[in-house]
Amino acid sequence: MLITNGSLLERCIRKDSAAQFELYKVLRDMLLSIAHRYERDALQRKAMVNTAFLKILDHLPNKNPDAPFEAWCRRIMINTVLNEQRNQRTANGHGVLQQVDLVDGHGASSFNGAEETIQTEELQRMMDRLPTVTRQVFNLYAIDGWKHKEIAAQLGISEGTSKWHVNHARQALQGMLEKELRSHLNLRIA
Amino acid sequence: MSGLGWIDEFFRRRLERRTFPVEKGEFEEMRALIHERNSTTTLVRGGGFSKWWLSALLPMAGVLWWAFSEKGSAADEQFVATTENGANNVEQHAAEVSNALAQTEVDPSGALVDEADPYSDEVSSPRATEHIGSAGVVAAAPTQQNERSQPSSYATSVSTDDGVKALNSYVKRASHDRLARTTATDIGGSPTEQLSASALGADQVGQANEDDMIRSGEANEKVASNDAPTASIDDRIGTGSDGSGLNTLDVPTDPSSAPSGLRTELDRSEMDAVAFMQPRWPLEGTSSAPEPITSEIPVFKRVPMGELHAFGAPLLVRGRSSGGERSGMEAGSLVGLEYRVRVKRFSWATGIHYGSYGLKADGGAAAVKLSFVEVPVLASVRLGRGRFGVLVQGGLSMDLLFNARGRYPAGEDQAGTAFPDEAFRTANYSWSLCPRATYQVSERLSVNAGPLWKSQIAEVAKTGPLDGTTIHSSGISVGISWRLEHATF
Repeated sequence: MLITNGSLLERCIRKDSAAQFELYKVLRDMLLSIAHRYERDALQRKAMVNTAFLKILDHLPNKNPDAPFEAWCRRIMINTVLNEQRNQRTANGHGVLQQVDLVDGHGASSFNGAEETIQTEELQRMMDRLPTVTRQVFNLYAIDGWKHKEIAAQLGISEGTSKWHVNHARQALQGMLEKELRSHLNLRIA
Repeated sequence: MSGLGWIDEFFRRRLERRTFPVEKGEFEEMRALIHERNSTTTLVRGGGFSKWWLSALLPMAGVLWWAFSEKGSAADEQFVATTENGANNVEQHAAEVSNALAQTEVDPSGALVDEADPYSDEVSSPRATEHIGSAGVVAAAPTQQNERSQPSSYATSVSTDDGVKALNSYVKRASHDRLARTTATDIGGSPTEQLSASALGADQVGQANEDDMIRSGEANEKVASNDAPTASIDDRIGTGSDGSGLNTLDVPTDPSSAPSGLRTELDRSEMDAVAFMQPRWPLEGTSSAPEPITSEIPVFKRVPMGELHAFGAPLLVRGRSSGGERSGMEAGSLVGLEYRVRVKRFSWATGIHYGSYGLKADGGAAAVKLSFVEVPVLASVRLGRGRFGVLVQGGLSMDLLFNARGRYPAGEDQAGTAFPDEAFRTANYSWSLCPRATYQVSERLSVNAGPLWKSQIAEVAKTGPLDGTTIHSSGISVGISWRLEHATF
């Protein structure tokens, strides 16, 4: 639980600037983590985090006190990201699908050492290489724990399409992980 | 789940919880955003429309309906008063003139008059005439009652247009008649009234003639002395008055000696007028002579008059708190369009006003401009002499919040809520008082100017710095009034 001190939220509701800034520092990493998973562009990520945090402040008085604060904040951040990306797609037309190299899976045993070998930034780059919708669906399903039904309703797609995106993302990420591990092994051997 | 499910767990564990270094200026930027957000609880809103203002369309529609209602009477007050009773009287008298003319025409051969006179077709038409006895006296059926039953529009057209024109020559000539002259003098100088009076005199003359002719066996001889049945009215009066007690009237010319060609034009206009006033439907005939007309001066009835009044007023606006403290002066304005119904000196009015009031509080921290659509109900009294007058108008109005713009720090519990609906009253009431000096530019147009005081009764805001504050304003109102063609009652 990020927020253990209830008085901080009370002070934020009373528009205590110091408390609000303190809340930002508490939520910053979580919000940025979500933004990094969904958005490639750094400037866009920053804008999304700021927008989401202000939304949190705005809706704080109306928040259901029984709802977990962290989950509530995550939901606001995800919704903000998805809305922003939807607006961008509307403004720019449909996004160009990126070509992702898919490789056949070689089983989990091939990647036992991946967690220790591959840096988080490299994983993030793999995620960034996924097409936008595929990345969104994978993030929502695999990391944020949404159900396909919820994803379909949020993104305006069918559940089958959502499942396809998840499977497509997994295959793509597996291929990228394999390629990354091979390069690491080659470097070590050399 | 396929065998790739481990990828989900792998990425979740690695990407969900991460730490990011603080970028340069990131915290300062967020501090600025937070500060701006807290200060911009002074919400800025422009162009928002309140649903309440739509209700102002109702009185507006009423005003338009009143203004363009077709059932009104004439605009001129005196003329309205005259036509109220006078129009019917004129047509009544004109119809009786035709009676008199027809009654004085006696055909010695017992034939209908129209056999000799092409213009007498309508006079002697079966619908309006009948034969009385063997003497061949052509008596017009009384048309007074039936004429009065006609629609007022028809009666007005008769009295104001063709009737007046066609009978104008007759009126002039009848003015030589003492009886007619006396009656006309008593009534007044209006052509319509002269017409009524003249018609009345002529009718009495005709009535007397007929009575004499019926009683006297000399009637046929006297009538036979006429050149033709188309003799002028004066001719008929003069001829028929011989020995009837009316021979003392001054007849300017000898009709029997005048060439028929010279009389034709005059007779035609007279007969046109008479023919025009014949009823267009069958009338029940009567064998008795028409009742003598009692000459009563029509009572002038004042009819409520409609006026449109437009005005504008620059205002100085003050807010007064519940504790009696006054804020500084701010600018405002009030414009409006009113429909006013006036009866004598008194009038009442309604319409639509648009008022804009600036308010400041907390040393400028709250600076808003509130616009209201106002529906007033006003009463006024006017005192005047000639073109100049004084009109004192006052009343209440319902103020509907139309728009609000500016900066207004909402309360802590108002963060993120809409500006006008939450912070300000959407409906309020106000009183106003406006004495004006008026000047009648023309018959319809008048201008006016005077001070204006206006205050809202209830507090303008429900929360924030203006909570408990009422709006008071004063200014100079300048306007014009236009008297409408139609009254609405």
